[in-house]
Amino acid sequence: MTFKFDANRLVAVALMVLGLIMLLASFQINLDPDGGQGARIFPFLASTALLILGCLELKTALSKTVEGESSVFSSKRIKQMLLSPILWMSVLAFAYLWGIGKFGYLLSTAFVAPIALWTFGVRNYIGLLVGALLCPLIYHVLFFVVLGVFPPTGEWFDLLTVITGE
Amino acid sequence: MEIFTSLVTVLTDPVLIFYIFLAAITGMVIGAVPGLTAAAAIAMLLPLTFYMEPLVALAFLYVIGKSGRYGGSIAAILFNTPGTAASAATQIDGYPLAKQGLSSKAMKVATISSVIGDFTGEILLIVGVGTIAAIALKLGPPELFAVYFAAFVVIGSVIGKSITRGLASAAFGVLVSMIGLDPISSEERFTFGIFELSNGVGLVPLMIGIFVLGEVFAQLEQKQTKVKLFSEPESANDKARNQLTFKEYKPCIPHAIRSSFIGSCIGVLPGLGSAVAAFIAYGEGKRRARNPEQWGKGALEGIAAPEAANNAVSGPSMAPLLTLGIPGSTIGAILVGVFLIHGIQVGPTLFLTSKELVYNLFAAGLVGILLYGLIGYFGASVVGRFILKVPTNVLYPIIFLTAFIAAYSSRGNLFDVYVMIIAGIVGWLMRKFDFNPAAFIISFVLASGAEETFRQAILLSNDGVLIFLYRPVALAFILLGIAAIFLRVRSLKKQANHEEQSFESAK
Repeated sequence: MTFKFDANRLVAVALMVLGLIMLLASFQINLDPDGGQGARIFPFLASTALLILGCLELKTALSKTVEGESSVFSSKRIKQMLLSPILWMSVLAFAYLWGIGKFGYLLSTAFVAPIALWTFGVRNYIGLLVGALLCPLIYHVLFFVVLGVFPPTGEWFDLLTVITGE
Repeated sequence: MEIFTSLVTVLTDPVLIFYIFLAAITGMVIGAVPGLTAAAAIAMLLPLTFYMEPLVALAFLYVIGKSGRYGGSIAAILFNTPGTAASAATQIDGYPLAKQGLSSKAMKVATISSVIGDFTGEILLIVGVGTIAAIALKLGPPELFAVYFAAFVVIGSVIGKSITRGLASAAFGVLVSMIGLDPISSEERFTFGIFELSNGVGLVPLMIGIFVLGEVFAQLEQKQTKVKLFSEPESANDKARNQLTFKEYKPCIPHAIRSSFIGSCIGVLPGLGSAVAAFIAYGEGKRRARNPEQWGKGALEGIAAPEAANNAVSGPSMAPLLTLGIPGSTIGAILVGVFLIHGIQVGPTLFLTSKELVYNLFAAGLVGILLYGLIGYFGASVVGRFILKVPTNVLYPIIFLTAFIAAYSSRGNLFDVYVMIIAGIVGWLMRKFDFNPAAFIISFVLASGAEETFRQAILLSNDGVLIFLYRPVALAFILLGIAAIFLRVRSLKKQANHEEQSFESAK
């Protein structure tokens, strides 16, 4: 008998793995000086609950038959996942954050705004250019000038320091 | 009596009135955009409120929540796309009316019923909250923990298709809230050697990730369908047909009143929310209606019932939050964050420490209802037209970018932005695999209070966890939680059997 993975089984296994990791991590929490469970008890209970719920989920998932085509590891599914706009948007999100850390807020936003607009289907080049210029400007004025939030500075280069001359 | 003094305070403060007005419009617009919810709007706007006075901040977000619930009906009636899950019931009769060229009349019924429902809920909250708070003050740690336990179980199990995934969402929320230093012993928990995690995971970036970025991902995955606005009556004859007379609304009044009470009762229970209230009220209204055959084909009563119930949830859902510190909804969970940011501890002592603030908030809620009612009655179609002019392919990238700066602004920390992105991916996965993001967030907020009361109860006890069985109130709430799971399993089994039978008979 071969064990086929479908989404439900994968979810169940993911829950069990997460529950197990958290359970093991809860044992790393030191006990109280008097030996009481204190800081450990709640994390222990919650991770045990997650592990048990994962087991129940797996039991339910195993009771259902899996069609051969529905395997989450089929080449078609993997290709779909790799081409998914969500994966692309997630990569863009992390890249944007990295960019803010290295090049400051203004430059990163000017770069990412048109890419985000493009991802959602905007194909007008003037619109993309306007987005690249207006987004950093409006957000900067609203959050860093009006609200007085301290802007994140770029480690390698920051356009804001060039503009303000500081 | 406090409410009258508070009403005077609110009505004589032009800044507060301005923000309530702004919130009424903002909530209505966001609620009417299909896919965007009031919770997402509140999460995104939360950092802006850090710089406001506590009352202004709370009133602004509270009224957005109220008018956002109402805004869903604009999309349901005018676009045939429910703006929120709760307004799906309104769509059943709203769409046929709009097809008959009576969209303005349908909107007027929805507005009046929403206002009746919301006022009823708010007044019941004002009248009852003091009593609940007085009772809550008498509860000790074992009873309070039992209430938390029941809340976790009800929130996790009642909503959604899967009980195990709902409860897993709640357990995961508890685990994420445990990250950081233990508040009593300062022991590190689940930090995995990452220094930034010592401060714990921030509520604001977590909520922005789950509700805002998660929604952006979900919208990106969905194929955008072009929505069409039903044309406004232009000829004198059409305008006359769209006028709502008292005679026409009169049969809706009993439905609006009954549904307001249904919504208020459901609102007090944590986790159930507006959608459940709207559908129960619709079903109950149809059962009692004199014209049940008209329901679903464009009955005005079919709009009045769900709209009144949907909005009546808003006020009473604040009762467990203000008296016990238990948010009954995602909006409630966000408001807990606002209270904490402004140094106000929600829970049984709130009425001793900040009674004036609470009543001022209620008064702001009443003014907000009146304002969104007036704006909606005279300008719902303008809001609908405005939304159609904002292309979603521009709106969602803007929301995507706003999520980053909003998450950063909460503590001026780029690590919070990492948290927001991860929460966004988790939120999207939760929606995709039928987990319950609301249960996750509410449990995240509840966990610290639950842990504190649990540990206090154990310290009080000579028999360990048996203290929860010896105290009758605590035992009653624990049994309530267990009963909630049992009843939910039974109802899901019944539903599955019914579907199986329908499938067999269709073959």
